[in-house]
Amino acid sequence: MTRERHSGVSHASGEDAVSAPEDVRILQAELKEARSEIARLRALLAPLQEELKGLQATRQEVERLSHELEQQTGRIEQQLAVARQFQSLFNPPALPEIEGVSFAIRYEPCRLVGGDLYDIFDMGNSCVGILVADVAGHGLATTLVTAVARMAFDTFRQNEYSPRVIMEKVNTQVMRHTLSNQFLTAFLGVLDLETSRMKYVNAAHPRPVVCAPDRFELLDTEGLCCGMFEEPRYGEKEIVLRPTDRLILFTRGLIDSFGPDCQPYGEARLHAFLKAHCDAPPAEIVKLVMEDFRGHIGQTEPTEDITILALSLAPRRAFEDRIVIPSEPQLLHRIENRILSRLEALNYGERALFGVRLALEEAVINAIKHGNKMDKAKKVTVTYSITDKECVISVEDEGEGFDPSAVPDPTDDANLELPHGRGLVLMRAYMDEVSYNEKGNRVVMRKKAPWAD
Amino acid sequence: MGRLTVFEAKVKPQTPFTVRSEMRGDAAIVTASGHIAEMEAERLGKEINQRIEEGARVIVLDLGDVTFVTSACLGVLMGAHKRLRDSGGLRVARPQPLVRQILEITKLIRLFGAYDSVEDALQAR
Repeated sequence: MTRERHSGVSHASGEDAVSAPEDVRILQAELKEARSEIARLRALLAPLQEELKGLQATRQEVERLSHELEQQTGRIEQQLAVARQFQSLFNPPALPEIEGVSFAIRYEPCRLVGGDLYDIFDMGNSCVGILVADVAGHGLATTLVTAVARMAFDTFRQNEYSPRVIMEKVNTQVMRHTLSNQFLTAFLGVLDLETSRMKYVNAAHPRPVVCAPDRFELLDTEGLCCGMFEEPRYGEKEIVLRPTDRLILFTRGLIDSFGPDCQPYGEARLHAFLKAHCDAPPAEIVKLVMEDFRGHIGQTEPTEDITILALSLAPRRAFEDRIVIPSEPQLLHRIENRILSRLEALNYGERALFGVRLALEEAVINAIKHGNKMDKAKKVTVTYSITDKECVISVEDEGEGFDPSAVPDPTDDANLELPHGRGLVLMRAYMDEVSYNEKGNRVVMRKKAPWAD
Repeated sequence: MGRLTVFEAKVKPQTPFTVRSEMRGDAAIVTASGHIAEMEAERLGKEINQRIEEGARVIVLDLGDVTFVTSACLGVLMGAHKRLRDSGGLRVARPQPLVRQILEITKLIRLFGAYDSVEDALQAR
């Protein structure tokens, strides 16, 4: 607009410059006015320009900050991704199969990465270790503690079969290598598959459940959480697992996760659910519990890792052994010790052991006296196999055999005073099945395990 | 197996066998303890036969401390019972439940009885 007026002035002066001094004055006045207008506008513009500069600086700052935030979020996400990766190494999705146990695990890490830890490991000497732990907190720091704990458990379980001792050592190690407010809760069991006995220690972890239609027990011991205290005072207990028992371990995430009603899933609901479903195999139990859990929490995203592990004893390959002795009655104890110590370790109980001992003595003495006729050059061969359902013992001699159906029943009133035949009566009374081969020089006796129907 | 002893799993050692006897009138009271199988039955038989040869007309066998018997032991008792059949026979006192069960299964409890005490067995003649 200023420029237009100015050009209008030049145009006019081009035509009338000499002839009208009056006009010149007017033009001069207009020019002066225009100049002052320009100055005034310039004065107005200056602060706006300042403001603009400020705004531009602010915008740059905002851009810088948002970029930084993006980077940091990326870094955090990256850290979480790293943490998640490590967690997946600590908790392998597929654990090796171990003969003698059947188990299933569900592990659902939360988005923020918690500190759940689990493992089932073969310790040798027929022992299996069962570990479930939960490091407090989330994110990378928690992952670091999980790493320390994981390595400590891996190290201290070597050549050590007492869960209490292992937990004490892990406690010391975690205390030494983590910050003072970092700790974990943990349950560690050492299950001897030969005896079905599990020793365990519970370091302030939610109590695992042992349940069967006729049993419900919660596994707890003395002892504080792991990695916090100089003297955690761990206790150790032992439980015998029967083939029908299910052992269920889990972490706090399972019972503490809230549903839309702001109520946690809770121990009580879990316990009731387990009681109702404990005859299912481990994989089924894990699946059913997780369905029930999902039903409770609905669309709510859990803020903790969730781990559940179910385990039961599985039929093992039969244990088989063979003992050969010359026909000398005083060697009988060798056979007895070998077989009976195995059965005792399996918790056959006093009555069953008494019965097997009696039948075994009768069968071996028969083989030595009546089969081999005390001929020391002739051998007695005892083979036995033990499964989780029964024990089968066969005793064979090198004699000519006999026909058991031809032996008169000494419990008939008329036969009570007969010298022979009572051994056979006792074998049949104390074993579940007694049969001879056709030749009659080998007897096979079967004893059901006390827990088999 | 070469298995380390992780959990104690030992068969209870058998209580050692002992036997002694004393005469009371024409009865011999034979007191045994422990596990009586093949070899022990022979020693028990010797003890009983010696008393019979010394004139015992009744044998009271105190099984209170006997934990286990086999058919070999029952055979020895039956032998003694037959020898003394006309004078009073052999009587069993204080059998533990598992041993008593063996006497029941073989029905020998009908011949030897199963008295609550040595005195009861002596008086039963």
